[in-house]
Amino acid sequence: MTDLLYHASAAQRYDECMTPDGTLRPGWQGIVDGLGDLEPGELSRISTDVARLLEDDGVTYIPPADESIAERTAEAVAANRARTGRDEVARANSLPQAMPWQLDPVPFVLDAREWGRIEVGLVQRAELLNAVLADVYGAQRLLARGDLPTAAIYGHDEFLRPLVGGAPGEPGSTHDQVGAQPLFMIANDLGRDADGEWTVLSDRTQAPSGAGYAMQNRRVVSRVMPDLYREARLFRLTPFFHTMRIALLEAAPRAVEDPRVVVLTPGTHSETAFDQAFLASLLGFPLVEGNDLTVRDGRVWMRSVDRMEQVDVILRRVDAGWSDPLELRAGSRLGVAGLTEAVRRGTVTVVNGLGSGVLENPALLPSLPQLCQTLLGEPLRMPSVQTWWCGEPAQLSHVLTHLDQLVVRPICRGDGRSVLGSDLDAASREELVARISARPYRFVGQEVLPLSSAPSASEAGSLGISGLVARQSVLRTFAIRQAASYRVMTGGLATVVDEPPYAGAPGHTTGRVRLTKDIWVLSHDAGPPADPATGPVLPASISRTVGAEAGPFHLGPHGQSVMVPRVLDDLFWFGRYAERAEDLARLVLAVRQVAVETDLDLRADGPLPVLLRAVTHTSATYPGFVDADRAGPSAADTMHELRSVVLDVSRKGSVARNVAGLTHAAQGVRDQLSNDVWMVLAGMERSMVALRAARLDQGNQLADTSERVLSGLLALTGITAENMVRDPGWYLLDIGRGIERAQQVLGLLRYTTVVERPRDDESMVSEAALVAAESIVTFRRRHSGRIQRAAVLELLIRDAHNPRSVAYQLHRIRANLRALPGFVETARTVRVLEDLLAGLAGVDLETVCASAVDERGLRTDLDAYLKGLREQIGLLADAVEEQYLTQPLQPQPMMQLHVQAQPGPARGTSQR
Amino acid sequence: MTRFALRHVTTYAYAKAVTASYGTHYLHPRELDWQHCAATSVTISPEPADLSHHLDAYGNTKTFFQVTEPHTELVITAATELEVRIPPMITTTVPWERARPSERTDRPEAWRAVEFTLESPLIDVSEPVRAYARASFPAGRPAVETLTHLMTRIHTDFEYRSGSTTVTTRVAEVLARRQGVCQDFAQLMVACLRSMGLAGRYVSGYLATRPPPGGPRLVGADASHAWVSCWLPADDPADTDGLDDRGAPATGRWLHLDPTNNRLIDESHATLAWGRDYGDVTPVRGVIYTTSSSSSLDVAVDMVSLD
Repeated sequence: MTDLLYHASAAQRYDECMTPDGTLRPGWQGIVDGLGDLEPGELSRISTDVARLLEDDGVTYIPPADESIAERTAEAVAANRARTGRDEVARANSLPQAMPWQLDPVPFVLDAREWGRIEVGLVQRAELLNAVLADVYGAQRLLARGDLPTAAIYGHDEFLRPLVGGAPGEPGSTHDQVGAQPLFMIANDLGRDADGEWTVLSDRTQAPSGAGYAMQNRRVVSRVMPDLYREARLFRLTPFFHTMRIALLEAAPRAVEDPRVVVLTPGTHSETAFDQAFLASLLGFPLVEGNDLTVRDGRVWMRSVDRMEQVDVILRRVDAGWSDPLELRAGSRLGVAGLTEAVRRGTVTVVNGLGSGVLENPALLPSLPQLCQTLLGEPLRMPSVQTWWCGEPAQLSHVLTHLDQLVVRPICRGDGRSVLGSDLDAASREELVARISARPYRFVGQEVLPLSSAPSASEAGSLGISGLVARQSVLRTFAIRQAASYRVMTGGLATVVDEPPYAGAPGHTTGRVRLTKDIWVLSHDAGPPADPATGPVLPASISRTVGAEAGPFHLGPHGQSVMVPRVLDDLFWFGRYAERAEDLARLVLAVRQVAVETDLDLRADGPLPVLLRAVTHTSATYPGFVDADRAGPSAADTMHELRSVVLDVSRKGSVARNVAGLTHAAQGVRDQLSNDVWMVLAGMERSMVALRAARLDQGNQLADTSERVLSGLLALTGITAENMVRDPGWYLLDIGRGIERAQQVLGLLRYTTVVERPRDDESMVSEAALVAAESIVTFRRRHSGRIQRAAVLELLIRDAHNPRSVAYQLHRIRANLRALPGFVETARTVRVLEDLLAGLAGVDLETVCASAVDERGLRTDLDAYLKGLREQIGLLADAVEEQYLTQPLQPQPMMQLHVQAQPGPARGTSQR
Repeated sequence: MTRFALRHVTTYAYAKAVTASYGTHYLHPRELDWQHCAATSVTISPEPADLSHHLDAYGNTKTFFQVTEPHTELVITAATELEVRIPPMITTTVPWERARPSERTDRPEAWRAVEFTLESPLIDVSEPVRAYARASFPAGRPAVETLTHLMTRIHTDFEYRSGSTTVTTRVAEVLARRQGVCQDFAQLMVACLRSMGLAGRYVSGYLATRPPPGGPRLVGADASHAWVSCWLPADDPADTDGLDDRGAPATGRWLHLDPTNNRLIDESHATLAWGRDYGDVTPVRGVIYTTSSSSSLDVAVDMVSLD
C-alpha cells in the first residue's frame, strides 16, 4: 500500500479501486502510485489546471432547463436567425447559459480483461436492439407474436409512424428501405452493482451524445498528468473515431467516390453543442443546422455561396421528431422540410435513422432476455437494471406496492424526470400513483442500483490534503456499427452521480453540470495495447513517446469549410465584433492617457470631455458622456463610466458585449475555427473578470485590462491571418473587419475633428485620435510640429498605404470581393465600392477642412463629408449582407382546415 | 350501390409570394370492400416540381409534393369517381368487454388494434372523458349496442355548431362546452372508446348531399366529414374485412359510426383515409417559405350522385 489517503466507501457498495480487505484491484497500482507520489496540494493544483484547460478550449455544457431542449433551442434559433437585430446578444440572457465542463483528473480505471467482458455484452446488446429496430419498423413479427408488447412500442413518442414500412409491392412505394435502416450508433449508461456485476441502466439510441466530451476529457487528462498517462498502458480513443468516420462514409446510399457527410446540430443553444461541434471537427465533417439544408427532387442539398451540393449522409444530433417540419413535428425550425421523403426514397442516409429513439425505452427492458433468445439465439450477456413495465398488470401492481424501493421512470423523455419513490411525501406519492394509473404503459419502475465507487479528486481542495474521496459513477459507453458489426470505444465517459435517480448521465440535472471522468482501459501486457478492432494503431515507439491522441483526421477533398450563408454570416460578424472591440479598447486607452496627462481636467470644453463624448458616440453607449442632463462628469463618474464601457456585458456597445458577440459568433462556427481562438477568448474573459473584481480601481487596472483585451484581440487577428484557409468564410470575415474599421475611423474623426477648438486642445484631441487609430507613429514620422487637421484626415482616410485608413479598407474589401465565388463587376457590392473609391479620390481635403464654421463652431462641409462616407460604408455593408449572407426563410406551417360543414341554414337546421 | 362524382378544391392564397411549398395530402380515397374508386385525379397548381405517392402505416395513400415555382395561390383539386355500397353488418354477440383487443390474444391480428386503444397526439383520454363514457358501458352489454348507445348519447348531448371550435380544440374542451362539429364529435367518441380499452379510429371522408329517399338532409353534407370506427371481434373468426391495413389477412371488423348524424355509415359516406386522429390524415398539410404574414384557405367540396 502507498500512503495515498483513500477510503473505499461503505461495504454495501463495490469499490472500483480497492477490495474490502484493502488490496488494490487490477489496473489501479500505477494510478495509485502516481497519485501517492504527488506533493501535498498538487492534486488541487492539477484540478485547477484542468479547469483552466477546459476553459481555454471553450468546453461547455448547457444544463437543461425545465422545458425541452428542442423547444428551447427552437426558440433560440428563431431569435437568433430573426435578422432584425444582430446586436441583440441579450436574447441569450433569457436562455440557460453555457457552463464550464467538469472533469475529475483522476481517471476511472478498468483493466482490459474486465473491459473485454463489458465489450462483448455491449456488442451483443447493440446487435439485439438493431434487430428489434429493424422489426418494429419493418415486418413487425415480434409485435404480432406478442414477443414485444404493442403498447411499449406504439405508446412511445419516438415511434415515428411516417417511417413505418408500408404494404410491400405497392407501385411507387419505396418503403422497404425505411425499415431497413440499421442502428448506427448506440451509447449505454452502465453501473456496477454491489456484487460487481455490470448492469445496463439505459440505452441511448436517439442521437447519442458524449463521444466528443470523452475525447476532450482524454486530451485534458493526458496534459495535466503526462507522466501517469505515458506510463499507463491504455487504449487510445482515436481508433473509435476513425471507425466512425469510415462508417459514415460507407453509409452513403449512392456510389460516389467522395460522399458528402454533414453533422446536423440544433445549434449553439443545444445542451451538448460543444460535443457536436467537437465531434464534427474531429471527424472532419461540416457542422450544419437544419436551415443550411434543403430538399429538392427528393434529395438533400447543402446551400453554398454559389451552388447546391448534394448531401449523402447526415449524422443527426437533432431529435428525430424535430427533423422534418413537414411529416414529423410541425412548426419545428430545427429540421429540414422533406427529409422524411428523402429518407423514404433512399437518397440520403440519416444516422441514427429517424425513429431510432423508440429503443430509448425502458419498457423494452423486461422483454430483452427473451428477445435475445428469440432473435440471436443466445442468453443476454449483460443484464439491464431490474425493471417492471406498468403496461403489464402484474408488473404494474409490483411497482405500486414497492414504490418506496423503486425509481419511477417515464418511458419517454418528454414525460418528465425520474423520481425516487422514497423521496415522495404522501401527497406527491398519491399524485404519482394517479399519473401512473392514468397511463400505465408510459411508466416503468426500476430498482435502485447501489453504484460502485471510485476515487475522485473532486473534494480534494476542501479536504485540504491530497486525499481522494470515494464517489459513485455511471459509465457511458459508445458503439458504432461498421461493416455489419459493432465496434466499441475502448474507454468512455464516466459521470459522478451521488444521488439516484442517476439515469441520463451526463449532466441530467437541472441547473448544474456533473463531474465527469475519463475512462482508462489498461492493457496487462507489456508494450502498448493493440486495438482489438484495428490492430496496433501506432508503432510502439510513437504511441509511447507521442503519448497523445491523434488530432483531427485529414480532410477529404471537400475540406472542412462550409459555405452556407449562416456560417458566412457568423464569420462576417466575427470580423466585425473583433474590430469593434479592438477599436473601442484602443480608444479607451488613448482617452485614459489624456486623462492622466490633463490630470483629469473635466472642463466642459476641454480635450478630455471631447474624447469622452467620442467614446460614447463611436460605441453608441448612450447616454454615457453625452448625457445632456449632466453638468459635467465628476472624476469618479468618469472612471465608473469608462469601466462600464469596457466591462458591462449587459450594455450594448461595450467591449465586453462585443467580445460576447464575438464569442457567440465563434460558437456558431466552432468547427471552422482553430482551437487557439478559444484560448484567446478565455484569456480575455479572465482579464475582464479580474477588473470586475477590482472595484476600487483608479484606472490602472482598467488600462491593464484594456491592454490585455487588446492583445487578445490582436492575437485573434494573428490567428485569422496566419491559421485560416483563404476560403469564402475568411474573405467575409476580412470584409467584416474592413467595413467595421472604416466605420470606426470615420466615427472617430467625426467626433474629434469637426468642431473648431483652441489650438492646443485641438492638437491634444487629434493626437489622441491618431493614437486610437494606431497611426500616431506614422504621422509623427511624416509631419513635424503642430498637428494639421487636413494631414490627419489624409492619413486616416485617403492614404491607401496606411492599413488603418478608410481607403485601405476599401481596397481590402475589393480584393476579397474579387476572390469570392460568383464575382461579377456589376454586383451592387462592387458598384457601391467603386463609387466610394471614386468619391475619396475626387475630394480636396484641404478645401473641406477649410470650410466655413457655423455658429456652434461646426465645420459643416467636413461634417457632411464624414457623415456621407459613413453612410456609404453602411450601404456597402448592406450590399454584402444581401449578396452573401441572406439567410433562407424559415418554414411556416400551411393553414389547416377544420373538418366541419360550411355554415348555412339549410344544413344546420334540417337535422335538429 | 351509389356512384358519385366528387370534387374537392383546396385553395391557399397569400398576400406575398411563397417561394417554395412542401406538402402532403390524403385525397385519394381508399379501396374498400364497399367502396371502389373508378377514376381519380389530383391536380396541383402551380405544377409541383416533385410528386410521389406511398402507402402510409395505415394503408392510406399519402402524396408528397413540392412546388418550387414562386406563387401567391396554391390550388389542389381532387376529382374522383366513386362507387359506394352499404358496408356489410358485423355479426357479433360479444359483450363490449370482449372487444378489447389487448384481451383478445386468441385473435391473431388483434394486436394491431391495440394501437387505437392508446392516446394519440390530438386525443387525450382524461378522467372526465372516462366518466362521460361510463354510462354507455354497463358490464356485459353487447358491443354493438354499447357503441350505438354511446353514439346516440353524443348526438343528443352535444350541439352541432359550426365555428364553435377550431382545428386545435381538444377533446376536453368539447366535452366541457357540449358543442362542436363533426371532427370534434368523432374525436370525442374515439376518446370515449379508448377510455374503456376499445380501439377507436378516426376516419376522414365526405358525406353526400342528396338525402336518402324520404330521409332528412344530413349535416356535414358537401364538406369534409369525419366519423369513427371501432374494432370488433366477429363471432366467426373467418368473418373479416379482408386484408388489413398492411395487406395481411385480418381478423375481426371495424364498425363505422357517424356520431354527428347518429347512424352507422352507409352508401352516402365516402371514405378517404383513417388514422389515430385528425393529425394522421389531415387532407392537406404543408410547409411554406415566404415573407408573407397573411394567408387564406378556402375549401370547396362537391359530391354529386351520378345515378
